[in-house]
Amino acid sequence: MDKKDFKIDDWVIAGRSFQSRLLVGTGKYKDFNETKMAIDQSGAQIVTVAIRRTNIGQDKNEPSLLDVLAPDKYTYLPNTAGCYSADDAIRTLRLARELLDGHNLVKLEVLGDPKTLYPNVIETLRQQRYLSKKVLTSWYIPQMTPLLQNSLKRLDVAPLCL
Amino acid sequence: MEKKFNFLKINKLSYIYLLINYYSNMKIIINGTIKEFNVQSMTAAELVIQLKLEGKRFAIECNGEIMPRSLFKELMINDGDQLEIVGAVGGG
Repeated sequence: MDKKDFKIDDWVIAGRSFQSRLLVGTGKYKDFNETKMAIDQSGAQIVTVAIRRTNIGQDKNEPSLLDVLAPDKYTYLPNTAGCYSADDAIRTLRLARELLDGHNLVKLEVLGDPKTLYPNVIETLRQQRYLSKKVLTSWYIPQMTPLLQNSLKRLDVAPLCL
Repeated sequence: MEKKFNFLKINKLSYIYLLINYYSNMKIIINGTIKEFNVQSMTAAELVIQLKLEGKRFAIECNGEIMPRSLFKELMINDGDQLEIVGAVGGG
């Protein structure tokens, strides 16, 4: 089937439109080359990334993920997985925004349980309240209950339920 | 006084030298590890060169505040500062 046979049906989140609805992660690959190939083939336009401490004293020429997947080609979705409180998550996202030159679409999540990685919705909401006021403007939020979704709508968020 | 220095088994001059040396070095905490530099303070841009991070993508937080990249040449890092340097890695 040719591409033209598809109905144009852009996916719009917070004013940005995407042709692919696929979101892919960037972890667990063997190397950056494999990451790049897999993500290119997937056709995804949004990739999730983790924000972690940089290894000081590492090889100067070692490529970083941002070199492999150009930020102008892919929309990065920095996530806050690994954060167990709203404060931690906010801090991580502010660093992510600086890292990605003011990019403000994020994957929001505050973990509640280390074993199941089930989210802590109360902290997520608290984080969202703060962020809506101060830092970032648009959102992507996984794993929500309808109630949380409604609360976030009231905060002028662009929620999306998986 | 002399007795005190004898106790340390060093002479007065070396004691003074050690003191000056101690106070003229900058100790900062980067990503939870103490790093020492032979200066009293430096700009964020100088630190980036010292850590061989030029050209890399990262963000710096100093004592809980983000250091905007555009201000690296002006913002000073002083003794005792706590820095977090982060980058994007595979995950999500």
